[in-house]
Amino acid sequence: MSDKRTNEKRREFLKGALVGSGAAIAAIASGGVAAAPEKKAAPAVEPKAGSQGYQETAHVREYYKTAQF
Amino acid sequence: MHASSAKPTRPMTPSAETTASAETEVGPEDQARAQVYALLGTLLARPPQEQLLEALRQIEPGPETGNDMAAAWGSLKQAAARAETAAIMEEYQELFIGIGRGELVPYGSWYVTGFLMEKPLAELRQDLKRFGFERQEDVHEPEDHAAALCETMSLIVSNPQIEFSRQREFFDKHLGSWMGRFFGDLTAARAASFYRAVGLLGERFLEVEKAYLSMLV
Repeated sequence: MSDKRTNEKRREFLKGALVGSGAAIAAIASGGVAAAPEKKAAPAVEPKAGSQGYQETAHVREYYKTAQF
Repeated sequence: MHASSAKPTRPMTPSAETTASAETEVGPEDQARAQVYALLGTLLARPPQEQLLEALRQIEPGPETGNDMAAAWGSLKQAAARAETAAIMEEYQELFIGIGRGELVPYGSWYVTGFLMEKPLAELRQDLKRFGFERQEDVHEPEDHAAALCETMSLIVSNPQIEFSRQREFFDKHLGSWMGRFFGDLTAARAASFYRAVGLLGERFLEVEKAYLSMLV
């Protein structure tokens, strides 16, 4: 099924293309940038007041909540 | 306003076929993509605060293998090391806001048609609705702002239910034709200093995305 998300060839391509991004992304995550949450992974903490990094703000959360796929 | 209460022209529920192939988890590569989109969205939405800058200074770009992303991460790290929040705020202001308008106009409709709020925005709104995304009442930015589109891609990529073909469709229609050019403009903007590195990262990442999403396997 060509539409399947997990596809070895595509995955291999990404692995190569994103080389060097792994550690960078880990650092970014520690700086308060969070990708859209996975459904099962509820955020443990609220964003710290005064911090303006992209966090899971009410806005983002709401945005995601209204997404019905 | 359009009658949004009317029956959607396309059902939201995936067909039986796509359900059968739907993944239940997002793999590490897709998580990485979602994170890069989220980072670009963040940096384009507002100037970074100290916490984020500090994180960017910790980036380890990995070995220089001629890999384009690694080089872009390296220059972002260096840019963050030089950056100060007050100066970045000013830079952001000049680049994107300005008096009347900034040096750059980071909207898809502007890049595609030369005007704001044009047909591409209307089509984007339709497509967002189709995905089930709704605009927040307190958000006044048009949805075709580069930051909003990066955030949307982040949401799309990190949702395991959304098939590859729909990612491709959305990217091609709403980002592919112009966002690379926008990031290129950012690397060359007169007012840009820190944001040159953001432009470079965006440019390289969109090239990766373009190649990735056009893979017919």
